[in-house]
Amino acid sequence: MFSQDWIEPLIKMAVVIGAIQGAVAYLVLAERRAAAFFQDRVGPNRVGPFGLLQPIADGLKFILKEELIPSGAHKPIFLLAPVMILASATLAFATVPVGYYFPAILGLKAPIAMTIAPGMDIGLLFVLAVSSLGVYGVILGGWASNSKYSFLGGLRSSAQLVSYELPLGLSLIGAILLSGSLRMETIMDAQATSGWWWVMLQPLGFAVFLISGFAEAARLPFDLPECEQELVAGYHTEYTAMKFGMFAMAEYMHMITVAFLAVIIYFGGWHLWYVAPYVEADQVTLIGALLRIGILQGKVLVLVFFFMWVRWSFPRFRYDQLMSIGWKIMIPLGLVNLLASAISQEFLAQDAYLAKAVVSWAVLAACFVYGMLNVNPQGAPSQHALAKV
Amino acid sequence: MGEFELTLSSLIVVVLGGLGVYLLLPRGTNSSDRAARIVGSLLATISLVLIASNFGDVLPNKTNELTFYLLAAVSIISAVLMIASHNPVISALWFALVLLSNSGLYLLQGAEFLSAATIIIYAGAIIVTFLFVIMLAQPNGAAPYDLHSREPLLSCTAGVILAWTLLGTLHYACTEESKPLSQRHAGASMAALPSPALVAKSLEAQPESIIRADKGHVDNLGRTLFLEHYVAVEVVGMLLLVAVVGAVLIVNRDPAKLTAA
Repeated sequence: MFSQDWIEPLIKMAVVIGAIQGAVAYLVLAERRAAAFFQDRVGPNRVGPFGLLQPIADGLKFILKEELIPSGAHKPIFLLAPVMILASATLAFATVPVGYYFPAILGLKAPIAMTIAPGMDIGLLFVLAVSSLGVYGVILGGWASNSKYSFLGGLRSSAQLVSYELPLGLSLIGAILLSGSLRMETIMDAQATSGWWWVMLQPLGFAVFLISGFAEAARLPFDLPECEQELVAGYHTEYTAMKFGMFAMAEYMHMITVAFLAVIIYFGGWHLWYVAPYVEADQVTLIGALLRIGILQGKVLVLVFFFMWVRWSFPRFRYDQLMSIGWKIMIPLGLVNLLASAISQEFLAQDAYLAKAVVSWAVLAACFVYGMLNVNPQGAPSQHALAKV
Repeated sequence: MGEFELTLSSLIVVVLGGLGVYLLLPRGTNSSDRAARIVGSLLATISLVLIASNFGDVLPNKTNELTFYLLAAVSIISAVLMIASHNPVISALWFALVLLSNSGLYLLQGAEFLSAATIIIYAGAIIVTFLFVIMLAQPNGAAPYDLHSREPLLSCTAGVILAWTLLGTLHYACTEESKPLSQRHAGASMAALPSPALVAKSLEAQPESIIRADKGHVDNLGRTLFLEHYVAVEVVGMLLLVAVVGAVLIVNRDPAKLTAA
């Protein structure tokens, strides 16, 4: 019973859940410091050195504040909504690899895969499926609060999340075709053995993925679910204390998930030329394993910083603009990318990476030129919607 | 596998469950509702336990079997609660739970792709759309048709007959040794790959089989779909395309608007 088969996943779960929760706490601090940096302020620096104890103070506040349940709220659903969103955000990490293999030291049986569920053949689909369940927390939280602002926020954001799932899935298919698998370990191996990161071969797919990822994580410029100026705080207006904290944690977890997916699928995962090249699973040394974990996490952190950067660089979209970007621009672009990568995959040799890169960048340039010539910068996609009003 | 035969005693067990469900269905009155609900849930639980006790070893591994019974129980109980609930929003949530536990059962049987697709399509998109419609359609609380189930007696009778014959057929199907389809993935209860011995066996049975042992689950599924059932896949795709075109036409009744857009 207490063999490695049992202990190993338990330890992995504990490490991943603990690390993610800690990371979320410190990302809040990082976001506040980054926001301050972009706005030429100082940011929170009073609690501990450089404000490093601020997350602990925040956590205490979350726990100790009064829990309010609005009158007329549907109580069981009101309490269940934050649990649903946090559970789905946490469960998504079950098939996300956090590094390459760990060597079989200290009498362990085989090289340990750095994933909670390493054998999952559908790893990527699992992440998409489970994180798509987070929309329940949003829509039910908004509905159960018995507040018009919450309800409108919930409706808006669930429409947004459901709409942007389509381009998110479409954009990934090109990269899946290149790697020939949905297993995230195999996708990273394919990039490491070829020496090409899929972002070089799938620029259009990556662009669609990143923009849809911003929308799925409900980050600015797509933070319509919250939209402080219009809806108080959107679907979690009525939530207080730790229940609000759970919504906030789930939001940050979504951002981390998108960053992990982007790094694993488009930026080679743990691979870095000359520093961390491809090796067989049983040839990894301890230093190599730690190095690869570090490289992957470093890339994720860079991407998370990019998310924070974008937040203070772009204005928010109007709701009809958001919908038309999703349905009229992102989905067609995703389809174009799928068609182009399917054709180049079929007619070019498996290792003709340079030719594939040329094709995909040419497609990106063609889409860009077409967009420049045909889309009116005054907001042509939304003209139809405006004419109706 | 199944020990459930089409006898009178098994019929009584199923009828017990059907009676429980009948008592659980919403009837619009609140006075005697509570007692009926308690009796109904008791009867349904007894019937469920009796049926479950008739099934022997479902899966080779004890942990797998425990998981199977857990998921199956959650699935059946939430299915009953879905039709027993007064509030349509709550019903939709129970429905989502049915789908989630079903996708867990698929995963347990090695059908990984099916389970992920169930979650993405049904739980992630369709039920959310249901919730949308329900929430927007009823701002003023439950409608009369939510508090009454239509034809509870007839539907419960039909359900009992269906459940009884299904369980019995399951028994006969499992005792017969003619199951070429399930043999393909029979060994893959938890592992991603079917065991090489089984694949070799099925290769022997079908010389030109397209299932390959060295490929993963999704790879083999794709081969089956796009090599063996290619025409069916294309027909279904065309059907969906026609449905989408029809939906667009219904929404935009004015043809001038269509060409303008």
